[in-house]
Amino acid sequence: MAQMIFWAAFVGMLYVYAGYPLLLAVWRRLAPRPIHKRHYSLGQGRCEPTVSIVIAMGNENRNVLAKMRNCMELDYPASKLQIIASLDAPTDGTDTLVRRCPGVEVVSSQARIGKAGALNNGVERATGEILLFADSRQHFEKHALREIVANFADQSVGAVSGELILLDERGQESSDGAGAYWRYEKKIRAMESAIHSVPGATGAIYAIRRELFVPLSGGIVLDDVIIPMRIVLGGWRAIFDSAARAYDGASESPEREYQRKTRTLAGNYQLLVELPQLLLPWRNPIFVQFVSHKLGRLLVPYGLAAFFISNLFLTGVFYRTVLACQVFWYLLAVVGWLLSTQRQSHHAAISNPGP
Amino acid sequence: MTSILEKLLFFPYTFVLMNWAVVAGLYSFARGSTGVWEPVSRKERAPWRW
Repeated sequence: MAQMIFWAAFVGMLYVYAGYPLLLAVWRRLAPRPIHKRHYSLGQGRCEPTVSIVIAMGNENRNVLAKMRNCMELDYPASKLQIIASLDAPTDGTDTLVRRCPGVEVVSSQARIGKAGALNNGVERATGEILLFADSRQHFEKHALREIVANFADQSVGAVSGELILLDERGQESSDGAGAYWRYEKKIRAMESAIHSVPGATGAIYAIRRELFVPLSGGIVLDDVIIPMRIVLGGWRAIFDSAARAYDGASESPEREYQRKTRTLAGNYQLLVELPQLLLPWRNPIFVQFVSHKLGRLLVPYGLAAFFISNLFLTGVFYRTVLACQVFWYLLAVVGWLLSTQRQSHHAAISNPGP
Repeated sequence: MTSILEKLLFFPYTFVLMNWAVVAGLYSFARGSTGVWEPVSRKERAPWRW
């Protein structure tokens, strides 16, 4: 019995982290579905579609001005661009700041309605053929909008996710624990996009056809997963375009990333309640991708526990060696935790040198 | 060299922590505390994150 659990857990986890990417690589080679991306430009007889950028904001007084400036500096005709700041009853002066920005339409609610409600309000005001959603903290690359919009020339595409690049303190793409994980995640998304769709977008930059937007239920955490997945369930593609980039700073510590992850993973469980048809292979055109990518990740911690506990009951050189490796791995994790704690104490001491 | 060693030491910790986040996420969902305006800072940026 222990042997069966051991091998089932091992094979399951191996599939999630290595087998699935390998499957995608083969799938992409055998049955690619290229995107017919076409850049719009005046003078070539093709005009750009109108775009509404919708940004839901809570208390964002430290980001709002930079974000609005960034939106206005995008390489896109101003006459085709509508910028909407949808405010969720901020209390830190965000509303005063955003109203100073020329060309920005402000939608505000008197009471807190959450991000989902703020997005619904913003979209109600939007008139563009394409809706671009973004968070207020990240910075768009100048050509990001033009790149993302070009994908909608392909009539099978309903949603497009851009690429979020996490930068370290030197301004280079982060390669530490969380940064490396994010790069691995983006490689998987690129392969999923090449065969059909990604099971979720990047909240920092994603766009959809306006007519495909369905108002969000209150309390939704992962609008960037629910909106694209609804579009995929409707028979469209939700793709990933690494040419449409936004930038953000990497989390300052694994603990910060942990806090962020806890909330987004809670959102994944919410997703299953909101769209249970995702679990039906005859309803979900990317069932394999969804189960392997989203559900698989949710099951890995239990697989790790089963792998370790079952290993305790197994004898023989092979199993004892695996157990030693596991113990060594978790000891390294403890060392990492101690180092991280020490590093944070050091940073705190520098920030607060005392009297 | 120290940096590479630190990265190697941080990798198992990050892996374990991210997997623990899955369990914590389930607990958070079960308690109904899935607010999107909770503060999480990133360096050199504002301390507010959905």
